[in-house]
This record gives sequence, structure tokens and C-alpha cells, in this order.
Amino acid sequence: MTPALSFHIKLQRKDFTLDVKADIPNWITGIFGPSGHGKTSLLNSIAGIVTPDSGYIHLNGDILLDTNKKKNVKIRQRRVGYVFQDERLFPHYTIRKNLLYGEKNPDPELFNEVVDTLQIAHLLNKKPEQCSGGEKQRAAIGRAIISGSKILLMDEPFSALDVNLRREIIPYLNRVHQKFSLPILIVSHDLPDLLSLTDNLLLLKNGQLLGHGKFTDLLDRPENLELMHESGWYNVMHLSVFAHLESKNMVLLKSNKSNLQIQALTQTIGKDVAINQALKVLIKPESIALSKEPVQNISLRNQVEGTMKDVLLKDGLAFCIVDIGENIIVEVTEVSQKSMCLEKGQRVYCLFKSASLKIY
Amino acid sequence: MSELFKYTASEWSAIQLSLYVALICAVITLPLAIVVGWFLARKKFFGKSVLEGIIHLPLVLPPITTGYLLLLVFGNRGVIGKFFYETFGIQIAFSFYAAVIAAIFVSFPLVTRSIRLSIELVDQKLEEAARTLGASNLRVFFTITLPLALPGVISGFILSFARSLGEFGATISFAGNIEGKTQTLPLAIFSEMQVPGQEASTMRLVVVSVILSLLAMIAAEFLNKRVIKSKTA
Repeated sequence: MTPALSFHIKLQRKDFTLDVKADIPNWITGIFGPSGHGKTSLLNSIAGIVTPDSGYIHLNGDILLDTNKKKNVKIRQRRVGYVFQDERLFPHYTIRKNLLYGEKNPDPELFNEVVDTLQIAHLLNKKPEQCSGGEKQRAAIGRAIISGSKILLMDEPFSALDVNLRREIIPYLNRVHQKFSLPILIVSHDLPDLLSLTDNLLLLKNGQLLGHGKFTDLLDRPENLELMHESGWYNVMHLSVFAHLESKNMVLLKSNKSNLQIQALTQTIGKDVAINQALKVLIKPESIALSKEPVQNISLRNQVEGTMKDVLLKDGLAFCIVDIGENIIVEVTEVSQKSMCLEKGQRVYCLFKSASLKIY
Repeated sequence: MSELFKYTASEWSAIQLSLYVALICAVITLPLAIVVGWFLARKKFFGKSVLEGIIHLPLVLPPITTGYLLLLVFGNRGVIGKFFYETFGIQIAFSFYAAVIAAIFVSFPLVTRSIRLSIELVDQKLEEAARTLGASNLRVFFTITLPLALPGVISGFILSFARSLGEFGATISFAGNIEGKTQTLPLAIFSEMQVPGQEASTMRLVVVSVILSLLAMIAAEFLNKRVIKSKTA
């Protein structure tokens, strides 16, 4: 697949060196790393706010920067939509004027579609300070799309929002990506937030790229494991609604790529979710138990069979990577792993409660 | 008592001339101060401190010194004055122009300071956001920086107007004290004070001077509050 964005950015700032090279597909990609390790500098370089010392940036085949060719496209000509941590809506304009700032006469269809998708029609005549944090974020996203951006860069979009507002904004981002087919590069130091959006990650530490790829594929390196475990993590499964089990108050979810199927509580998903609706299902690795045999007479609704792909040991814990149709991590104690003789290649059952699932 | 309200033709002339000079001064000073204020607020360049010092010099110089220096530059034998006199036959010193120029030089640092401070308070991140949305530097300035710095700009305009109304030292040494031509309100008050028995005339001019200055300050405060209110409404 041709990458939407390719870059190699080298930037020297006092004691800090940013040196990152990557090809970003037309997906939602999460940039994860500790605070102060170069995530925002990377976004600023792509947007043109900061000029790298050397390197290149290509967006959809267009050269935004190439220090060898001495080409550096100005910020205003890059068509890179930047949604900042603090929204940066213009306080003296209404939301409508903010939306139209980058493009005074947008295609009315696009304008209406953005307003509908982000549900900001009721805000159009309000000033930013009359809006909630989540509403302002949605307006800022809308403004970036309407201005004709070819990519959306988001810098810590959740950090200023409380937990409820975070949940509110995540589905909008998924919708934006699907409807407008915009690649989204989203920076966060909060791994669970990122994983609720995407499992395609770019790991940054000390200005260097630790890894780039699918979340579970990144776990094979101890330094990646350490980085991600420290910030709290989730397994992400891509499933679709298969059936509403109304008498049990449950919903049956299935994978389109494998035989994986699980049950979730109706109240977690909602009664109105259509059959075949694609969902992201998240579960913490420590919320999953392992068994070598199917367990009878147990209250847990989900027992999913899988194969142990790897076992990584760290600080008395064992991180078992299990293929259940998708790779997931199961966190058990090293003592349990040893007493159960859990090893690579074995068949195991992953046990978890329906109530422990988060669904977006 | 009724003498306090009977203004003579020369007193009216001084009042009108003062308002005229102050208005022209404020209108000319404002755009210049906006440009210089923006440069000082947003740009770093070699010699910035020296430039700031030169701009602020009229604030601390004795006004008579400012007037004398203006006379050296704009007098008929000065660098600029000579050019205007020989090319266009215009004598700047001891004319209406001189009264306006003296007012501009004296009020310029005050206006620049007010505008510079208000521009510094505009969040540069908003300007950055505007650029990512495709705005040119000029558009960023006129649609983001200037509207958000408006309270300071309005204050600067009125400050310039009020300072011009009160200008004395530089005007008398550079423009002279010619009735109907360069005699502004403060100069007229000074002249009346020199003549014994003109207490009533002096008082009439003082009352106008106080009222005009007060109105200017009240207007500045009122406009400032309106701008702030409209921004937050």
C-alpha cells in the first residue's frame, strides 16, 4: 500500500535529537511515547511550524520538505490540518466563522457533512467560550477538515478532556476517518486512549523510533513492552455485531477474519447498534485469565480458545501473547505461568467477563 | 460668574486648533505605532534595544529638548526641513505642520507601548493555528492579531489624542505660539497666564482643557469595556 505520509525528520535542539523515519498509511496512527520525547516536535515538523535540520516529508506524493532539494513548503500551503491540544479556536469568531476560516466558500455538501458528522450544527452561532471542551475539540476538527486538509494531525486531543468527554470524542474521530478518508496522526502519552482509536502505533522514546506497527506486533522487543506496560494498556479486537441475544441481555460479536466470537453486555453496546456494525472491543490484559482446559459451571461468559505465541517475563509477571484469531496479551504472574507450565505453542483458553469489555 | 462661559474668538480658535491637531496626530500616529508595536512585540533583531530606546526617548527627554531637536531636523536649514522648503516651498517649523509633528513625536512612544503590550498578550498559538489553516502573514495580522489587540489599539488612539491635547514644551519651541496658527490650548493658557487680569480667560481655557482630557479618558475606558464585552459575548 502506498503510504499517505512518508518522512525522515532530523532535528537537533540543545540536548535533544529527534531522528524519526516512517511511512504512514491512510489509517489512524497513534504516536505514543513519554512526555517530552519528541512527539509534538514531530507533528510540528510535519505541519511546518518547526523546520527540521535535515530530512524529507512527502504527503500523498507531494514534497512538503526535502532539505537535499532545498525545498520547504510554507505552513499555509501544506494543507495539513492541525488540531491542537488546546483547540485554538479563535475567541472573537463564532464557531461558523472558525469553521470557514481556512476556506471561505467550501463545498456546501462538505460543510454540511462535517457539521452533521461532528454534530456541531447547534454550535454554529456560538462563540468558543460558550462551548464545552468536547464541543470545542469537535469544532477544531471540523475547521481542519473544511480547510481542505489532506491529513489530520492531532496533538494530545484528549489531555484537556475529562473521561466522559474523551469517550464522547473518540467515536467522532473514527467517523471522520471513515467518512472523509483522511489519514489521522494522533499524539498521546496515554496508551489506553490511543488504543481505543487505533492499534497502529508509532513508538517514540528519546526522539528515536522504537517501533512502528500493530500493537501486538510491537511487543516482541523488551523496551517496547516496558514502554507500553508502564502507561497501562488494552487489547484491541476488531469485531462486528452478529446477533442481539435479547433474552440474555447480551450481544454476540464476531470477527470477520477468524472464528473469534465473544459475548458483550447489551448495555455496553446499546440496543440500537445494527447487525454487522464494526466495533472496537478493548480489554485489559490483567482482566483475562488463562486455563488449559474448558471450564464448566463458571459465571464468565467468554472462554475463547487460542494458541500461545510467546511468553515474555518481566518483574514477576508473565505477558502471554495468545492468538485467538487476533493477537492479544494476557498478563498473569510468573508463578502461575510456571505452575501451569504455560509455553509457546500450547492451546489455552482465555477467560474474561463480558462486563470487563470496553466497546467503541 | 457669567464671564466663565463667554469665550472669545481667539479662545475658540485655540480650542479648535487643539482638537484639530490632536485628531490629525492620533490618525497619523496610530498606523505607524501599530506597525512598530507589532515589530517590537513579535520580532527579534539586532539593535532592538537601541531602537526601543530611541522610540521611548521623547518620554524622558525634556520637551523643550525634543522641540529643539525637531527644529534642527525640520527647520528651514535642517535635513528634512530644507528639502521641503527648497522643493515644495513649504516651511515646516513655526507652522501648523510643526504643531502636528511635535504632537506625533511626543505621543508616539505612549501609543507604541500600549499597542505593543496588547499585541504581546495575543496568544501566538492562535496565529500559528491560522497559518496551518492557510492564512498568509498579512491575513493572520488583520484577522487574528489586530482584532484581539483592539483594546490596546483603541487605548493607544485615545492616549495619542489626549497626549496631543496636553502637548506644550516641544510645540512652543518647534511650532511657536502664533495665535490662530500654532497656538493650541496649553499655549493659549500659558499666554493668558502671562498677562495680569486674565484670570477669567485662563480659567475658561483650563476648564475646557480638563473637560476634554476627562472625556478622552472616559471614552477610552468605555470603548475598552465595549470591546472586551463584545469579544466575550
